[in-house]
Amino acid sequence: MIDAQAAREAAAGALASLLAERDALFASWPEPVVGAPVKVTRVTGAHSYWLVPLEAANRAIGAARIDSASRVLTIGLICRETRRIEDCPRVVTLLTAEEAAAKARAVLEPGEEALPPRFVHDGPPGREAWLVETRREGRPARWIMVTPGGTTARRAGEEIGREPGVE
Amino acid sequence: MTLRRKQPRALVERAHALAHAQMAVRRAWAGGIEDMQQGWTGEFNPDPLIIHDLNGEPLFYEFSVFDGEREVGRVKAAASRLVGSPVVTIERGPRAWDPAKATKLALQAAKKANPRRAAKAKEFVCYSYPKIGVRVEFAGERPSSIIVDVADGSIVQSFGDDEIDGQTAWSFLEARSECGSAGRLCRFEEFDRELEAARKSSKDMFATAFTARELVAVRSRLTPVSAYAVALYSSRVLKYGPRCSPHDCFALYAQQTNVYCAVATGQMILDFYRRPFDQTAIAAAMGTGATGTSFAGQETGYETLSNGCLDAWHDFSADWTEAKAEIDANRPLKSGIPGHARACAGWKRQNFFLLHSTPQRWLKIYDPWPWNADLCAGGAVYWEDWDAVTHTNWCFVRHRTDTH
Repeated sequence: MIDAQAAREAAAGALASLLAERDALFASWPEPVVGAPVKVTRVTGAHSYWLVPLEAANRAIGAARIDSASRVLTIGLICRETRRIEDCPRVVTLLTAEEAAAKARAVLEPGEEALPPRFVHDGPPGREAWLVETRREGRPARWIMVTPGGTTARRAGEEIGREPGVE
Repeated sequence: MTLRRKQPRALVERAHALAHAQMAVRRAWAGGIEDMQQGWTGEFNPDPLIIHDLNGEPLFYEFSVFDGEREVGRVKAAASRLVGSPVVTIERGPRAWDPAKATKLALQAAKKANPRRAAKAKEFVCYSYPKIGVRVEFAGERPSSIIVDVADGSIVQSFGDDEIDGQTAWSFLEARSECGSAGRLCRFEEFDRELEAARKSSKDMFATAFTARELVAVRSRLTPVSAYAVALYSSRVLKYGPRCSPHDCFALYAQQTNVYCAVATGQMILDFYRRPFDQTAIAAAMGTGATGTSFAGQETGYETLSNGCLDAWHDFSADWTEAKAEIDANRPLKSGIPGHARACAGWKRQNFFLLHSTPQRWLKIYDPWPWNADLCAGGAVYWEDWDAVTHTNWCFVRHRTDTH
């Protein structure tokens, strides 16, 4: 398992390569720099990979996903409109943990208690979301998945992507 | 039988070959080639192992690269312009055989084969590319020679490139037909022009070595900038059409619900084919349910929404060449990973890589995640390492070729 610094270095190397080859993906953007890596876990809690922000003008315009062996799984953009860079996400997780917790609180049911949010991939790597697990009478109740698009909830422990033949 | 040439043709001077080797290695490092990041910025031993062709001409200079005391790897640079490329291989790690031991082994084999004649090790020979041997000459009234393999000390018995594969000796240079030699010389000249351009624009390229501090500053200066540069990568993305200078042509849409990944992917692909539908209509046509969309549903959706003009089918043995072929034919495709669908609209491949390693390959993925009711707000576009991801399927979507 690599640490955050190693993940950051791997992302910086991949970014430098893309910029050196003048990859069209970043051609119209101000030159980004790598930011502080965020740990992404499986829904079960195990570490999966690092999400490293690519930042320009104090915004996260892109991201690199770095696996536990320093391999760059993906590198690219998370923002679209070059001319409105101020509208790009402030954080690579799109929402802060506090914002995710607030959104989850809004859908809590009576008697339900929320645990602190965890940043996970819900399904295969790449499908990141904030996971807020709720408890009822001390037992796991629901998983509330929070993204900027909204919140969805399902029974705690129910993993997606395991139903064959469905995407 | 190969004739020995008395004079080398198109010889590359050792210093010139060294410059080509440095340029190839240092550009690969600066370009971020994964296997070249550790130690390859070290010092080149300017005294190479010279490997001759079977016809006697110098064929390769093998330069070793050192990171301090450690031999990081070796670069086989052409000693003849007739090779066509100034750098033939870059190999990681120290040489698997020792030249001094190989010479001793060859002399022992020669003495055993011909005990009454004085033998002398003449040169290292590439007798059956990439195999190397030692040429041992016997003195006497009728001079003769044998070639002894450096790895196992066996004497090479058969000659000619029309022999079956195995320990057969053939000339690397003579096997490359005379009629192609003009093209190879011309190609080498292109590399020479690139080298000259690099000498003017990035003198750091040919420094003996770099300090750690210099390395940080020097990386950007070592990347190719001239018109002659040989690209580190090949790539292709979808274009509007095949003529003139068309623009890149693919748009990202976010999935509007958390289960609409196949639907949004379908929207991207259908839009490419000028069949615009909103995600509600696509979900209805694909029969999308509470947990997502079935493979059969996706195929039905593409076909019905195009009034049967598009054909869609899944391939569950997704491999790289298939995706590349679709993009080369200017068609997008759906890339399936476990439980998730994305659109693929480009490929990229590393052009320089170490011998016996696999070049890095990427796909340009238009991922509809994260979901967002505003389809222009979510999603992401990125290069994805082909070998780092589990691919479960492709969905090919093509124009029907029959009448319907």
